[in-house]
Amino acid sequence: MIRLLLAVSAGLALAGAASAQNFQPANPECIAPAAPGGGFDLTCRVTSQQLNELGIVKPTIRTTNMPGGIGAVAYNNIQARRPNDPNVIIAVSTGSWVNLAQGKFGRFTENDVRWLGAIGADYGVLAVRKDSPYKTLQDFVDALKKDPGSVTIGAGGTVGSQDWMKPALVAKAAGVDPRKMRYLSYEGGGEALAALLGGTIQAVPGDASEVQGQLEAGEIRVLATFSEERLPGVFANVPTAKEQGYDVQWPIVRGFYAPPKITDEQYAYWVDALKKLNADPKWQKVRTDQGLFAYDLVGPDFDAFAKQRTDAFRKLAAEVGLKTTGN
Amino acid sequence: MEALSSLAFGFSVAFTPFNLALALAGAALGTAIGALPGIGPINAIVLLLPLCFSLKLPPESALILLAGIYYGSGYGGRISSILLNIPGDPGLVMTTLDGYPLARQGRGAAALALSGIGSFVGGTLTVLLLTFLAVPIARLAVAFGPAEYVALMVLAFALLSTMGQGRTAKTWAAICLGLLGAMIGIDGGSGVERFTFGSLEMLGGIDFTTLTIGLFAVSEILIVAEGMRSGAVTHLGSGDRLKIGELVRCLPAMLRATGIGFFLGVLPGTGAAVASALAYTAEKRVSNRNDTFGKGDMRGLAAPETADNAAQTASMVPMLALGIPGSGTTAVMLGALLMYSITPGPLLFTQRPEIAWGLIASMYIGNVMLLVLNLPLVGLFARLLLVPNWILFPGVLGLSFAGVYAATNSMFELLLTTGIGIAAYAMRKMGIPLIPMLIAFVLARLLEDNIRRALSISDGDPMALFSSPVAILFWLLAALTLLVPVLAPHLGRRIRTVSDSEGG
Amino acid sequence: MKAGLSGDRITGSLFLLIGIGAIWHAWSLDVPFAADPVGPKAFPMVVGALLAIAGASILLRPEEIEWEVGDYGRVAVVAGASFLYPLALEFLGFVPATALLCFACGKAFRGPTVGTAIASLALAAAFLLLIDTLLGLPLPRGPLGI
Repeated sequence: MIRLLLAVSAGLALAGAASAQNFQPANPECIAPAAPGGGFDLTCRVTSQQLNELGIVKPTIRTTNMPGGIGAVAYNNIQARRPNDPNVIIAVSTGSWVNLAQGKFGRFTENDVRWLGAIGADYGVLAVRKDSPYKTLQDFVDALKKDPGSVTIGAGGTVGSQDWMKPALVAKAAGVDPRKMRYLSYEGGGEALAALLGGTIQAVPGDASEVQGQLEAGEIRVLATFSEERLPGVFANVPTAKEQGYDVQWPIVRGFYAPPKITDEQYAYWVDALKKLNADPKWQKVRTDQGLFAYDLVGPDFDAFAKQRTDAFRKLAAEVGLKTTGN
Repeated sequence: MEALSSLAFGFSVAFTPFNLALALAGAALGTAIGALPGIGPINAIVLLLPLCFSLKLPPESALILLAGIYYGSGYGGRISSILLNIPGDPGLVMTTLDGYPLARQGRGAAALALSGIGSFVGGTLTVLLLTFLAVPIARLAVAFGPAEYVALMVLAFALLSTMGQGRTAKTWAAICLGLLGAMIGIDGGSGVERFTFGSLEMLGGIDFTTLTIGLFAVSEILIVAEGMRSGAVTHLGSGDRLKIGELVRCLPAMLRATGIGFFLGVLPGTGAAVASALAYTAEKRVSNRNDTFGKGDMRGLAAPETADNAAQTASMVPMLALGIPGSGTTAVMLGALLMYSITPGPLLFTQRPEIAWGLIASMYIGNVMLLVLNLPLVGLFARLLLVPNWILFPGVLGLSFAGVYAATNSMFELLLTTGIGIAAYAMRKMGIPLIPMLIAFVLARLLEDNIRRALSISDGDPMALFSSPVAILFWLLAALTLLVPVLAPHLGRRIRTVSDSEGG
Repeated sequence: MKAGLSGDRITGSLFLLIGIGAIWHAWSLDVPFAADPVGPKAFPMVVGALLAIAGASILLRPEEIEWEVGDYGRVAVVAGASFLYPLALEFLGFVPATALLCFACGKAFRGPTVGTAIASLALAAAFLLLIDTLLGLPLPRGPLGI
């Protein structure tokens, strides 16, 4: 069924392609707003390589690293120096929107760039060690309700980051003040996972791709996935949070944006390229291999989605007392 | 022995001509990339990753190539550290302490050879440990909790405070500056920005490489420019090769350093920079009888070089045994596995033995290759010093800036590098030691984060910091480090009168 | 040559000021909430205090510093060229900017004019080939395309 839908949308994409043929990028560039080796970096390198290999974008796309402020430096650089450069796309993820909402991107907002589209998504999960007393999300929530300090949660992000937001949303849904959560911040997902296996912390609100190996080996138990529907593969037996009565969803969407002042024709070119990419079975395999799930949201839909998410994060941050923009 | 038969199987994978060629290519490429200041193995691995993929290299071959680059880079970086007093990345800072004086004494080639052998010893012994004990060691490493980390960091700072050669107040000032520098950016425990003064560039903190290049490369070039201290050594002393006796005298230091490097490399979060710093200070504590450290003592060169390589190799342990990255570079290598639809994790050894054991076997081979590749070339590398100053130093400066810019695409980062360099130049003139500052910068987050984690778990009860035998052991060692010089002043004084003076 | 005691006095007071500044900055942090009992203020305050103490100790008991006589003109040339380099990079592109940087420094290191000019150009071109072309890390191109 999904394949059929994809095939249809591929056909539509091809039909739409004709109108965007007039613009062709010269020396196209993908900016990874992180140091070499991070998630953004791989998004850029793998996507550009596939866009070239599948013949969707003809000229070779080069990857540039622009680390700083978790995407903030790249965001501001685009605004100040290249607001109408049609040859550049910049990698973005849900984590960028969380920071955008909290004013960590400077004076610019989500309305200051053109959101192109997503190429896939990872999903948040809640993992505990195999011998944990928590067997279901309800067990976890019960413990939180009884005494928020009794559950030590740890993850790779800071307070206010998306790794913190996931359990905060669960706590909020259960009527527990997220500020009372015992949360330890680690340097990265790997360190948090090590601390979980070592018994320092009791729960990791991580990402599906990073806990997959541990789940396969039976080292950890995943209490819930924060996805709309059950995830495939090893996660097939893991219920979603929604199934267990807590409607918390946390897709970590990976995608791209473009500078604010490009023309509609140029915007259409890149949207179209991403559409074709998402429809290509070869890309779908590469995407799965990277640990990403399908997330085909491009063009105006993605634009609306980005703005709606950022706004939701802004409200959420304000509710728990974090600094935000626009209030 | 199950491990032996598995290893034999691994060698059968690694010993195909194709994989051997890849290991050699990786080692050579890694050496070359490691020699470039500011560009580390991570860049090379990230660049080659999509290439391996589109060339349809089998996963074990790709991993053998990438691992070759990883440990090869450790060999390349020491060239400029030893010959020019310019370390290209943080793990090599300690190498300059005794390596550069050796080069100035005309023993550059010998120093390069010794550091190559040290790296080989550290790397090979670590692979041996990894072969037989990877899984139990990785289990122990993850059980290392916040309280243990805090005690370990206190021991590290105790060792560090004894490092400075001038006034204690100046060493402590340097340590404090390093600690404050590391606090720049977003605080993990609260999401609050500290010391950023509204600058977005500062949100993520000061980059490790930028700091190293500024502190050591830029300031060294300024020092040479000012004094025209003959930066290049005039005589190569090529007849004075490394003697067997000298090597034998360094063996105990290498063994101790392997232990320290292995231990710190296995722990998630610490790394080669911490390992080499602690190996050097510990070795100085143990062996510095005649105050020869810092003046070209072979053991002072062997210890950090061995520990650096041991730690780099050991950071593969949690990656292979548990699927948890122990360092930035191993995280990228894990990403490489993912791209091949291989889920890194505890099952790797049983599900895909050709990858796990092929990689381990290739590490033995790679270390031998690097030694064979590097030893004959030390004389050639040492000839770098024959390049006239007016080409050599501008070249190093230009290359350093190019490296910083290529990795960050930021003018701000270049200005920061220069600013740090000028500040470091002034500090050197005023007798403020730079190395304690850099190491404090590296350790700061480990110390602060872990104290805060420990107290968070214990609800603010400080006794939690002394809660385990391992933690208590480190606290005792730290107390010993600080108290021994106080309790044995006579011994210390006698040694000091023998040697001519402090400093150097 | 000795720099006298003024070197230590300046360093000491600078450290004292930085230490006090760090304490003040940490004190004035606006923390909505922290997930741990220590919070983000304690560490910078303790370290700032330590730095201030170290600074005061250097200031109050200054010592003579061994000071090499140097040619500060050359230092200024290298430092100035390094500061201008990012600007040149922006407007001229990698090869001209790097060649200028190397030339200025080469002259500061007493290189012969013609030789330094040739070497600088060669170095800049070699770095571009090495980092941009071979390693694939893009370096900025100027109006000349290099």
